[in-house]
Amino acid sequence: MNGTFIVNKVACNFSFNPTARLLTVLRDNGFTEVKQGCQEGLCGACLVIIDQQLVNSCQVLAASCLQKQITTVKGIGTLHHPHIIQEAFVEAGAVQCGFCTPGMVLATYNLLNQIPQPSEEQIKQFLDGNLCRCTGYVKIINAVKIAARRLNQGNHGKN
Amino acid sequence: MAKTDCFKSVGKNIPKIDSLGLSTGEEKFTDDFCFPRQIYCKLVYSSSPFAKIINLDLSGAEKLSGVVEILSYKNTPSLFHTTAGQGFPEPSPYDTKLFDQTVRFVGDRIALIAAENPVIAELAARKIKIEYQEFTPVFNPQQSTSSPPLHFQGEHAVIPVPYLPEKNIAAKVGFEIGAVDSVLKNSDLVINKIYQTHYASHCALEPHSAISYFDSRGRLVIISSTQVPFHARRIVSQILDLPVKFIRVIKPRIGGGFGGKQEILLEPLVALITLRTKRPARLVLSREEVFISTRTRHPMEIELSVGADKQGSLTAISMKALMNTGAYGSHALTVLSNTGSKTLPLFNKIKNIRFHAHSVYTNLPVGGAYRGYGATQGYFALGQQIDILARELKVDVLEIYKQQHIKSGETSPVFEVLGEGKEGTSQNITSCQLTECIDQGSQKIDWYGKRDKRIKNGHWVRGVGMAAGMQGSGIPRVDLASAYIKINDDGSFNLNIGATDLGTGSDTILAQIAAETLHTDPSQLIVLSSDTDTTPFDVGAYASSTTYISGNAVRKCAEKIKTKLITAGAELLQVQPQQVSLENQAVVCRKDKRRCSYEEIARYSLYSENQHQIQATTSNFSNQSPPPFIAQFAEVEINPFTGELKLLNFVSAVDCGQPINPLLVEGQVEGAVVNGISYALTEQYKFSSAGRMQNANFKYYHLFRTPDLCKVKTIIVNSYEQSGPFGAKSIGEIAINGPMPAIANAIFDAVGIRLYQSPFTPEKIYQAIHCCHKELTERRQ
Amino acid sequence: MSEPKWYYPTDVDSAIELLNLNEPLFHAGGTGILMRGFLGVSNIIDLQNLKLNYTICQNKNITIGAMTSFSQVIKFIKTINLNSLLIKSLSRAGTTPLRNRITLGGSLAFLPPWSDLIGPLIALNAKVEVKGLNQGIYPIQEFIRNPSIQNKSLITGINYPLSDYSNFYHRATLTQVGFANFTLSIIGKQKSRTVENLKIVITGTKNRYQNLTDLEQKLIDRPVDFNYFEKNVNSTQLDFSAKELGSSEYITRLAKYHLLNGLQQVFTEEKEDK
Repeated sequence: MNGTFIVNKVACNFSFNPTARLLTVLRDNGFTEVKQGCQEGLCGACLVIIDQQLVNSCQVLAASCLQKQITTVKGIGTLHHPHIIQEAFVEAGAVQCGFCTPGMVLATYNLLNQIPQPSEEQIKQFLDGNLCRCTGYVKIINAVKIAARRLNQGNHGKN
Repeated sequence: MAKTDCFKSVGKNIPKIDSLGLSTGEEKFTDDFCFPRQIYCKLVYSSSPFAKIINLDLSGAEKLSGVVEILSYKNTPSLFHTTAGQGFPEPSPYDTKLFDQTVRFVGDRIALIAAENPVIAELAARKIKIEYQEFTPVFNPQQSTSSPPLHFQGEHAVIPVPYLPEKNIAAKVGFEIGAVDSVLKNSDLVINKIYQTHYASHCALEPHSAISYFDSRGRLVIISSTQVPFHARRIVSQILDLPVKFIRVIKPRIGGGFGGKQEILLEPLVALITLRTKRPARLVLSREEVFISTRTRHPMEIELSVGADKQGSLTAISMKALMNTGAYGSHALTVLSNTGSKTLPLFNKIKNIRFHAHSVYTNLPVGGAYRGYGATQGYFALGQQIDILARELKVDVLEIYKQQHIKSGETSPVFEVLGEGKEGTSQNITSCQLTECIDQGSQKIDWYGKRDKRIKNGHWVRGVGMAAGMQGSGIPRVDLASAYIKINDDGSFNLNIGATDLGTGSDTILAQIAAETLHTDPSQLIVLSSDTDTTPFDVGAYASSTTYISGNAVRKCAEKIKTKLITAGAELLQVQPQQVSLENQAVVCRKDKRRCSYEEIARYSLYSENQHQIQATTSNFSNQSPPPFIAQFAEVEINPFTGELKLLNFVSAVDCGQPINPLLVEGQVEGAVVNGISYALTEQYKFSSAGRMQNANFKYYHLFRTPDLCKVKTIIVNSYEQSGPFGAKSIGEIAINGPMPAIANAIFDAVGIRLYQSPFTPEKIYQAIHCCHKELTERRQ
Repeated sequence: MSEPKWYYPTDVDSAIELLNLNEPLFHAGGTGILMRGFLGVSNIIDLQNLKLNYTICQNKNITIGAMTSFSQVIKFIKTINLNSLLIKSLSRAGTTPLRNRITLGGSLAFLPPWSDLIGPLIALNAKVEVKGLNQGIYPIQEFIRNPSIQNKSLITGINYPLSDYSNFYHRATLTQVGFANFTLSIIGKQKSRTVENLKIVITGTKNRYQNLTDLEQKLIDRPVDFNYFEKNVNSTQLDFSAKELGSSEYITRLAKYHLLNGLQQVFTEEKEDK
């Protein structure tokens, strides 16, 4: 089947199988920043934001997202115009292999939209859908705190 | 001791050079590459633990439109090899074929489907019919040597080591120094215990993946999520009987390895499909496939006897290890050796030492390299044993470690007798700050305020425990690394290295080492790594080798460049080379402070006179492997009524020499610690009675997540290793070894029970308390 | 194998009408469907446009539309009662991103054995609203007992009476995120240190769940006396099979420990007449 998806604010027409997962459709169409880690909704590497909801794109059927706004990690910041959160991950040493990072960054983005100044406990609870095997999460939690502090200092320029 | 203050790049928290690209999703992993007309591959696995395939009916799959090729034992090379990505000749036995008519574990390969798309491949996989003639499997390593052999077709070792497939013995290693039995008999105190560790998966977030294609000159290119691109090239060449020059292996970004990708599993398969079809081929495993068919941490049983006199001096030690290597002997000898070689030298005052160890085959998943590499298993035993001993002797366990651990300037006979697949290499320890690690770590956790206090929190009781250990920095006289550096017009440098960054940050720290040597900024280094065509040889990322072995290669190479910069710079400044030195990206005349920048030198040397490319290449190997040291402390809270455990604090104090990048060092420690904690408490393979893993998913194989975290603290103790690049030793593996014994010791401190079998699940803790201290489990209001 | 066809009805009646198609399947959040697979599915009826995403609190009664996601339910109930049993349970279900996708209706339709939803719904005396062939409002226990209610019918929502009773929720897992070995929901009210009202539900037992009515009866109208509670909890029969946390005996012990803990929390003195 065919359908239009608004990916990172650009309308895209994809043809896809009616039972295809959003993850597969995105990756097949070049959005490889959405990573595939487990296909069971439990690692968070494939997170995207659909209409402000953080979801595992492997647990979403593409056919249920027609005309929806889909944001990948490239939609919140790019190499040349990184988001404060992405910069915070770099600075905090929160990126090791980086396979979980796009999902972690999106989860952080979604968290800070909802709770601008989260406590450590709130950060830990919110990131419960993101696995990371490299960092032991310590630096990731630091990165979230750094990003929250910067965003709250009114440094929203790049958002 | 350390020259930290004068460093400009070393010791600084330079952001990882790939981290912005990773955070913005620009960097590419293997599965992110896509080629026109690519073929999708899918493996078919054995559902039987041990059988001969008497009928493999591929007709249903072959008939399916869109199926391009099917590989099986019927049409593939039948050469024995090892999948272990080690140096040549490999110390692991040649007991594996690409496909074999005999299958030896649930998850062994039977066929590979190559199809136009993944849906067809999946459909075809389900149409393959397999008839098995079942053999009696062996799952218990204790019974392995008396069970029918798994390997009986000419499997063999390629180096002169004991290999007895007829007895299911995949490897055997041992030595005795002194007179262990008689000294034990005469010791005031002897502790003898048996410890058992369990299977675990690396769970790198990126599943194993490989893609191959022909380049425009007809050479085979393999993009792979590998820790060992050069070994991958050699082993593919060996299995498929292709010249090495015909193959190029590229490692792009890799989503974690931890040893799991030190294994040549997928590369020969996609290569064979490309050879046969002339089309690009890709194979990406699912999470379930990673669990059941790739590699695991070898389970081990260790019988440990330690003797001591009344004063607490250790007199003799006997370590007997039985390792379950699963169906194939990947790393069967070397992991086993490390169990002894990375633990026994720690207490070098012991004069009587024995190590006797076997690896045996069973019809269970295959072991392999896993961060810690046998030391993890060894320290589970040793770390508890020392705690038991200290309690029996009524002395502070910290004192036992501090008095008796190996010190700088000392050696251990174990270094010499036990290597990896051959004899070891004697070495003197040239840096050891373990005592300092113990002091700083114990202070951080408030050891003396908490030990033996059994602080209560409602029904919960608290305890603290510790463990200390060492690892190595590369394999001495085995590991080789090399580097190439050249200057560019603007005074920047290309740094090409064979070393393999798995996410550890080695590309970054190697740039820091080059920058430090060259008196330039790390951002002036353009790093290219892990491509067998364009980067010089490196054994790859394993054995905690990269910082030390590859780091010294880079340092030596940069030294050569330094000399050339000085020569060219002096020429340009019209002074003698002895009169100039390097300073902030320039050659400076010490007398009159005249300077010429690297950019000027580059332009001069490339275009002006006596034209030449300033460039150098160097390789490096080492006769020694200076161990890093660590002391790790756990604080737990136990509910004796239920056996539930909460981890409250975990502190690691580490001596890794001079940290090249302290933030990345902390990252290595924290990652290893949380993996180690998760292994100790929640991760395990659950097998059916037929040897099938029943929890091959993140639903039932429990990794720690953020809500499970306790406070994790890392202390980097001031240290400097003369032989290392700018004083550095390794840090990649060591921190995974402490969590299991430290937590076990903390559990004892809280509730007085010993757990000799990992993992420490609540039911095990409850049963042990109920058995030893029934009164604690009886409910009181 | 032909590929299923998607439909996107915009009202409940047309969605139910579409059930006359061959091999239909409703799609709510999709997580359950992906677990179930597409075998025997020819037509997928997407429920997103039915406007079943609503939450109402009226006349001390809470009504929630079937297409409301777990995270939306949590957000809504937080505006009414921070101490709600449903917040405690749904906050622990799945993970943050999964809670954004799992809907109340989808969860009721699939009723996965690890569901964090059914224990609290039973304890709260919830009712399930169904439209279509079996149109009606069903008490949750009846709905669970009788899967045929879902034949040619659509779950449109649930409702339950608002209460200010004390409550307790426990979810037994190995790691924080992990499927529940069992869940324990307790709702209680005391007056003058006497148990006035009590509801206890354990899920994950051999028969999916156990409503501990015997224990409830023994404790109701009795003075709050934890020794008496303990005696009766100990003599309560719980039926567990072995699970990842351990043997049936161990899980039974664990459940009883937390049950007694829960009762103590629900009936602490501070909570008197709040």
